[in-house]
Amino acid sequence: MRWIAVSACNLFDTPPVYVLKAYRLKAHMDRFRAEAFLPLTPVAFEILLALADGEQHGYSIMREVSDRSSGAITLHPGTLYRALARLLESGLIDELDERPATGHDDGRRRYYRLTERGIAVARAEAERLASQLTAARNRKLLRPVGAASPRTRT
Amino acid sequence: MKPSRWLDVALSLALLAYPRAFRRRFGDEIRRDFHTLGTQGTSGPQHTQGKSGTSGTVDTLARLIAAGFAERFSAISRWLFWPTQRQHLYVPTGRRHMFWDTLRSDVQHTLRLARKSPVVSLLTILTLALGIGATSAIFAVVDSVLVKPLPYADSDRLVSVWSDATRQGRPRNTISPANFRDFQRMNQTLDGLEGYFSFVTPFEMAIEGPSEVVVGMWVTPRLFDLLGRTPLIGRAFNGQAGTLEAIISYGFWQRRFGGDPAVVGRTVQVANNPITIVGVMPHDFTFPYGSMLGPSGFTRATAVEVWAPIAFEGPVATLNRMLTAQGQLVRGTHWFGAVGRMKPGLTVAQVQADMSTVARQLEQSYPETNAGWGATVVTVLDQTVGNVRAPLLVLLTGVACVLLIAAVNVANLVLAGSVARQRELATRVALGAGRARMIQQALTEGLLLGVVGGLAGLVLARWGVAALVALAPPDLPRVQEVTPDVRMLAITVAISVLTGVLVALLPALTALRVAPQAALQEHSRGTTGGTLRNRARAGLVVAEIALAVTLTIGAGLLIRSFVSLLSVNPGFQADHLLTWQMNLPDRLRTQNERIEFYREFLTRMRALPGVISVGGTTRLPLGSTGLTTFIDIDGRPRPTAEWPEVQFRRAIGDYFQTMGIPVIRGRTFAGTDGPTAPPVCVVNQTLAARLFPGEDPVGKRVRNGQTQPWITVIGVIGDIKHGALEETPEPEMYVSHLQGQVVSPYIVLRTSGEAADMVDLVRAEARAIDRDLPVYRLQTMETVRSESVAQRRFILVLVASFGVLALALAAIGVYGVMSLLVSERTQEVGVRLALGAAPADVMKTLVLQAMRFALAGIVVGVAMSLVLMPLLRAQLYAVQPRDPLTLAGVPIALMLVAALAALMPARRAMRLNPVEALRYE
Repeated sequence: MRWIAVSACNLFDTPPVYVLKAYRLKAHMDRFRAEAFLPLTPVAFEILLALADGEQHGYSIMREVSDRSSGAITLHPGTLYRALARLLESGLIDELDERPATGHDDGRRRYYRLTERGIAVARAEAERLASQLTAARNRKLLRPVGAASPRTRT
Repeated sequence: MKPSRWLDVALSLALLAYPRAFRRRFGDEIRRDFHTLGTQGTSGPQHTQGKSGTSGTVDTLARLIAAGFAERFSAISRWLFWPTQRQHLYVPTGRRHMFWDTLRSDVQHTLRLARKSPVVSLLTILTLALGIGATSAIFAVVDSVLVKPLPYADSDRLVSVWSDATRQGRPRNTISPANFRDFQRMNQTLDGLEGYFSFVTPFEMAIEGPSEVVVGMWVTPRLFDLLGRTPLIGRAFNGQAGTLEAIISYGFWQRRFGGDPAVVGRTVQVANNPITIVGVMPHDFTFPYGSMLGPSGFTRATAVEVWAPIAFEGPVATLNRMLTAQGQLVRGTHWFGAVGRMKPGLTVAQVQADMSTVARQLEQSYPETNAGWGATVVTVLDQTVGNVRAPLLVLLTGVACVLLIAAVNVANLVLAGSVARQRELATRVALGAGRARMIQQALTEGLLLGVVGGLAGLVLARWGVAALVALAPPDLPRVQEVTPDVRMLAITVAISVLTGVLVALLPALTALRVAPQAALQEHSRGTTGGTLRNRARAGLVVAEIALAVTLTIGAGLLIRSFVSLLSVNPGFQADHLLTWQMNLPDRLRTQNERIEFYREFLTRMRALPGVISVGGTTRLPLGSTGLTTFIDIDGRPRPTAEWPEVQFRRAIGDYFQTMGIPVIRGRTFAGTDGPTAPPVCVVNQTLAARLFPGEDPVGKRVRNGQTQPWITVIGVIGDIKHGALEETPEPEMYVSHLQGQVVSPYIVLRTSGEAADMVDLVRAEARAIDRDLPVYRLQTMETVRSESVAQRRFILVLVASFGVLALALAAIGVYGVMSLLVSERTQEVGVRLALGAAPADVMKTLVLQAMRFALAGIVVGVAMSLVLMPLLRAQLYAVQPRDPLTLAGVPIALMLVAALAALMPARRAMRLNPVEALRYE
C-alpha cells in the first residue's frame, strides 16, 4: 500500500512532497525569483507542463499527465488538488474567471492556466533538468541527442 | 438505494478527511473527477486499468482519505510554524476561525514570555511534570491492580467460595474435600465450582540430573475450563482419574525447557513418580494469586510453576491425605479453596444465599464435623486485591495531594507573573480586549503549561511505573501485570487538562478585575486590582500549606506505625539466624529412617564451624502461614464440634533454644521423647492462658482426635509473632518430630558470626549429606522479618516521599510569595529604612507575615487531618489516627520550613540600601 507510505511521509516531512519544496523559502518576499522555487516536485512540474499547452481543468490535467508519462506518474484526485492548491497559493497558476468558450467539453469545471511566474518557474526547472541531462550525457549515462532511445515518445 | 448513491455517500465521508476550506474549494471538482473515473472505468486513465471496478473505487477512496489527512496535517503545521509567511489559498472559514487565530497568538505570546524567563518556566514545567507523572504512575498501578479484570474469561462472574467458621470468627476458612464435593454437587446458582489446595506444594522434580524444587499447585481437573483459559500449547486436564499429568507455567517452560514446544508429552519424575506434561499455560495466566490461598500454607511463594490435577480417589488421593482410614473423603480437615462461576444474571448475594442453604443442609447431615460451619461467597477480584485496596487508595490520595500542591504552586507562579504583566494586561483592556478574551488568554497559558507538563509527566510516568513495579513487594497481588497503557495515557491527558484549568483559574479571575486607567496611571507599582490578587495569592499559599500539613501528618502516622511495628518483639531473636526449607529424600520411607536422617543431619550441621545450634519446625514464624488442629482436653469432655482450635506445629532438634524462644515453665523436648515414649507436647503462653486459666498446664493431657492418643503437656514457651508482627499471638502447640512425620521442614541455624556468611557452607554441607536434598528459600531470619513488612514499607516509602515532596513544594511556594512581596514592597521598605527603622525589625515584619500564612495553613491542615486521618486507621499500628505527637510535631516542622523559606527574601529586604530603593520612585 504505497499511499500509506506517502501519507506517512507527508506527516513528518513538512513541507510534504506534493507541496512545492520551495515553500519554506521566502519566495514571495522582495522580488520574484524563479530559482527560489527549484527544484519542483515531480508532480508540480508535471502539472506545469500539462498547463503549458493551455488552460485545462483538473481531470484533463490528470489524464494528460498520466498519458504523457505512459503511466509512470499517476495523479490521483487527492494528490492533484493538493498540488494545485499549493501552486495557486504560490501564484504559479491561476484560475480562469470565465469558462473557455468552445472546444471544451464541460463548462461547469474550473479551468487553470499558467501565470507569468509559473512559466518562468517551469522554464527554470526545465533548464535545471536539461543541465542535469547534459551532465548525464557527458558522462555517458545517456545516449547523445538524436540517437534512438526506447523511451522517446513517437 | 442505487450503487451510485452509496458511492456518493462514501465519497462525502471520505471528503470529511479534508479541512473544511479545502473541501469547499475543491470538493466539487474532486467529486466530479471521482464520478468520471468511475464511469470511464477501464477505458479511463492508464493507472486505473487492470483493476476491477470495486477494488479500484475502494483504492481511490482510500487514497482520497489519506491525502485529506495529509492536507489537514500540513495545514496544521503551516499554521503552527509558518503562519504568516504566505497567504493561504483558502482562508479558514466558519465561526471558529477567529478562535484559532487568537489561540495562535496567545500560544505565541505565552511561549515568548516563557522564553524570557527560562529558569522559572523550566521549574514550573518540572513541578507540573512531577505531579502529573507521579499521579499517572500511581493511577496506572491502582488501575491495573484494583480495576482491570483478572486474566480469566468473563472474570466478573467468578466468585471465591469459602467455609465460614462462625465459631472461630473466620469467615473465609478453607473447605474440607468432602464439603467441597457437596458444595459442587448441591449448589443451584453456579455454572461450575472448582477447587484447589489452599497452599503451594513444593514438587521435587527431576528433569535431567539432580532434582530441584518447583512450586506446585493441586487443582481440580476442570479448573482451567472454569476460568475460561486454555493452554498455549498442549491441552488442559481431561479429568481422567488415575493419570499423572501436569501443566506447566509459561515462565517455567521458558526457564527450564527453553520454550521448546516438544515439552508437551514429555515425562518428568516428581518425587520418583513419572508425570507427563500435557500443556503450557500462556504467560499472562496466573492462578492462584497469593491472596486466594487460605490461612494455611507451606510458603509465601505464589508464582506457581506446575499445576497437577486433584484426584478424589485412588493412590494420588491417598498421597494427598484426602481419604480417611475407611477410604472416605475427609470432612473434618479443611484445606480446599474454591472458585465458582455464577450463572448469568445472578448476584453475589444470591449465590451467597444458595451456598448458605447448602451449608445448613450439610450441618444437619454431618453435625459431628459441620456444626458451626457456614459458607462465604466473595467475588474473585475482591478476594485477590481486597486487602490492598485501602493502602493503594491511600497512595492515590497522597499523590493527588502532591499534584494539587504542585498545581497551586504553579498557579501562584503564574499569578506572580501576571502581577509583573499588570501593565500589559491593562493596555490590552484599554485597547478593547473583552472579558472573554482575557479569560481565553489565561486559560491558554494554563492549558499550555498543563499540556507541556503532561507530556514531560508522561515520560516520568513510564519510568515511575517501571520503578514502582521493581520496588513493589512480590506479595502485592497483580503488580507484575502493571504496564503503562492507553488508560494511563487517557488519565494523563485528563489530569493535564484539569491541572491546566486549575492553574489558570485564579489568574483568569484576577485578570477580569484589571482597571486599565488606574493601572496605567500608576507607575511600576502594581497595587491596583491587588487586593483581590493578594488575597488570592495568600489563599493559595494557605491551601498549599494545609495540604502539605495533611499529607505530612498522614506520612508521620505511617512512619510512627512502622517504627513501632519494627520495635515489636517477635518473641524470638531474629539476629544471627539462617533459615531454609528442604524436602526430605523420598527414599526415606519409614519414620525410623527419617529420625536417623534428622539425627545425622542435625549433628553434621551443628559441627559446622560458626554454628551454635540447629533446630527446625514445620511453620516458620513470619515466613509461612499456619495449620490448625482441634484439641480435646482430658477431663473436659465436649462434642467434637466444640473443641478449641489451636495452631499445630512440630519442633525438630533444638528449635526453641536456636530461635531464642524462652521457656516459661516445665521443659522442652529431649532425646528421650522418642517414637516409643509417651506422646508429649509444648504449648505457648496464649494457649496456657486461654485453655488452662489459673492452672498449671504442665501435666495436663490433650488429644487432636477421638481415636488419637493423649498427649501430655511438658512445658510452656513464650508467645511468638507467627503470621505477622502486628498480629496477636494465637494458641500454639508443638509436637516433637520424633513423634510425627516432617517431610518439608524449615531449618533454623544459630550462628556466632554473620548468618549471611554461612550460606555457601550450608549449601555445600547439605549436598554432602545427601545428593538428593534440595535446599531452598535459604535466607537470614532478618530478611524473613523484613519481607514480612515489605508491603507496609512500600506504602510507607511512597507516602513519606510524597510528604517530603509536599513540604518542599510548600517551601518553594512560601519562598515565591515572600520574594514577590518583598520586591513589591521595596519602596515601602526603603522609606521605612530611610526613616530610621531597624533592619532587623523589617526582617521581623516580613517573616511574621509569612508565619501568619503558615499558621492559617496549619490550622486548616490540622482540622482536615482530624477529619481525614481516621480513614487511615486500618493502615496504622499502635498509633491513634489523632496521635497528638504527630499532630503537634508536623506543624512545628512546617512552621520551621516556612520561616526558613521566608528568611531569604526577608534578609534581602533587610539589606536594602534605602537610597537605591527610593531612587526608583
